[in-house]
Amino acid sequence: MNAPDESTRRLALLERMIAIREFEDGVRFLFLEGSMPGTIHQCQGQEATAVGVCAALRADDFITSTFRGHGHALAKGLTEQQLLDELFGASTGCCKGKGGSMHVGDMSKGMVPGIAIVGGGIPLAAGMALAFKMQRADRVVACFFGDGAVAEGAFHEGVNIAAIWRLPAIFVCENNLYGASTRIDLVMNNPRISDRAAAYGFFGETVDGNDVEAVYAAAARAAARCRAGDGPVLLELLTYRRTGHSRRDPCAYQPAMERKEWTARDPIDAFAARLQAEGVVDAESVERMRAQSAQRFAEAVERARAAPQPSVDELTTDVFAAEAQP
Amino acid sequence: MKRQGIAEALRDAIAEEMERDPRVFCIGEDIGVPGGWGGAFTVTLNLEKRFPDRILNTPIAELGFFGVATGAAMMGMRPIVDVQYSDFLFLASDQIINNAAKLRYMSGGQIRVPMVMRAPVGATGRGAQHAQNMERHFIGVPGLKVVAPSNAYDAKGLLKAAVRDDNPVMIFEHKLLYGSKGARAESGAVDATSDIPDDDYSVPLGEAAVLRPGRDVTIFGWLLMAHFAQQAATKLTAEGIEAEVVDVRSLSPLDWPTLVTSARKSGRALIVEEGPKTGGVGAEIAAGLAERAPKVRIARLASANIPVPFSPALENLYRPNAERIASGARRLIADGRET
Amino acid sequence: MQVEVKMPDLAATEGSDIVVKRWLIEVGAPVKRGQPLLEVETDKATMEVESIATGVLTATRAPAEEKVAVGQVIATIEAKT
Repeated sequence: MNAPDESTRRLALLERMIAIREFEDGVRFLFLEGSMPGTIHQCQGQEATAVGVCAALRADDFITSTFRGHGHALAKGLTEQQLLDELFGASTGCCKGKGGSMHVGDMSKGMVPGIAIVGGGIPLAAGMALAFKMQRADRVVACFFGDGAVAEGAFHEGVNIAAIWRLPAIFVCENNLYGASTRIDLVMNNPRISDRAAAYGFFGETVDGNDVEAVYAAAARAAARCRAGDGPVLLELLTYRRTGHSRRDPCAYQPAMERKEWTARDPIDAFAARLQAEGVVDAESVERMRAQSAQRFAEAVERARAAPQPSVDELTTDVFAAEAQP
Repeated sequence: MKRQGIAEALRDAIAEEMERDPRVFCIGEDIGVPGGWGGAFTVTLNLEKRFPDRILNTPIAELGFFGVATGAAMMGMRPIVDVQYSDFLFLASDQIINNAAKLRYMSGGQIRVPMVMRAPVGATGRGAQHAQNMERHFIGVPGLKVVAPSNAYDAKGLLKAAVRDDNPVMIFEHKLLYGSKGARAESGAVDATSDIPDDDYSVPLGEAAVLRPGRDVTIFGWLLMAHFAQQAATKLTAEGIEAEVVDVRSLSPLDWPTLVTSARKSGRALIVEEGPKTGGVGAEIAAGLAERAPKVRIARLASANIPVPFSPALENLYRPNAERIASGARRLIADGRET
Repeated sequence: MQVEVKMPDLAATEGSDIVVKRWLIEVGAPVKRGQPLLEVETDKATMEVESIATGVLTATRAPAEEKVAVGQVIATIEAKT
């Protein structure tokens, strides 16, 4: 039996994963209905990576994200309302409607708006960690990227600088086996991404990315290592994308058997089952979490549909910061 | 008051800003190696002795360290990034153009990127990949400011203004104007020294400077061309032609009020650029002048549309010089045809 | 209440053709939200389009092999509210 604090913490992990799944499934239908502009890159199946890592961070730690950032955002503390307003292009969105799905973020909650250039956030994260080190703050930055980003020069240059300068950065590789539609073994001879850390002289490990508690524990270890000044960590999380690369992708390149195997290892089902087996939660409570998330989503959608769109006055604002801060 | 060249004036500017504000730091290749060069053009020479924790020597990884500087700036530091040759900016361009310049807008105003980038331009006998004038690739990037000082006074003042500005600012410096001494002196260097005041001062970003007044023709140039334009103006005075010389100095944004006033004064605008004519900064100046002052006759004098050649004979043909600028001015006065 | 099913924006290239291949549910049959309703062919691939509502499929408005435009109403569902 867990202590009450422990149970609360574990239930919070489950709740966040369910919230992400309900959000992403709900957004999928908004797109199908034709009521939402632009495109979307979703993360169903990858909830445990976002939730496990963010749960191990403090409120003043930061994350960088990618074009597939809705899950990271909800895990780091942004609300459904902030995101939906942004996806509908409203001026009340987290980025005033100027960013969109690929650039959601909220600096006050420790999330940099997503960097949509593959690998582009990696040197950025190293730089943020450099600032923390120079400021003598014991904050860390977790940098999310996919297996596809490992081929980019930005990965090499970013992790190398973080390693030589011992920067407090956790490089979180969500390895879902595909860079867009291309399978990992076609783009690297060594598909075990964490092995690369040794080449740069820093610590790396591979963890089951669909086990939220394993992710949480590994991220907590990584954060402690960073705060102690021991340098960066390359945390490879093995997971799977249950949805298309983007909304227009039917995933025909994912073999049926592979999809089936990974569906059986769904992170939410697995953790809910574990918690039920340990008596921490019952089936009704899990269903209640789902219903509450769905309700919250539906209410946020109604508000988002009515939210104000930016006016021409806002078109050219926010390009430059006004005169310097002291 | 003291007489200094650009490299010395920049060195003082960096040191004074780092003294004034502990958030300022320098990052780049070979900028602070003990016993080293102080960067390829001596600008940061010995600064690592005064500021051991804030002169960061990087691996050869422009994309990496420009991204690192951007990230540090987002978290409140104020980096001065040093690229050894501006030609290498292409490697860093994703971080500069897709990240640094856009993060404020994409975030709806949440982010500031107070980052200064310093880049040496100009042909100096090293061949096409160490010789380009890169200004054209960075003007017109929304969210990025670009300046180009032609003398030590402006260099020091603009660097200070750039450090104190909360936005990404690219400063293009010319290799032949540094006035670096000894082993790192450049052959063909031009005197760009100025009297530098002892007191703190800055030169505002966004402003051009009229270097010399005149009524017959206006010659626009920046960096080395500003100097050659003045040499051309001296030649023309002897022929009874008074040329106004304008140092464009701020390439993005362009200082339209100053540029237009000067162009209208003479009604003839000769825009001189080191770099291929097609798609250069001169093209933007020409178009902007044509829109705002349609009665002004405009001509551009620039390099041929070729990569920079090595042979000194060809390199001298590549770059506009005082003689060709004076010819261009005479031709514009005569009939305004393309030079 | 009657829900209109509009063709979602699934083509990879702007303005390229989307062609109805086959309906997976018969008119008059029940359908659940999320259940595949029809197959379409885009310039990228053959894809399934899921139903956006739970209820009964009351009409289909685009037969097999017909090209449809994004936003065009292709079916109606009498939805359970």
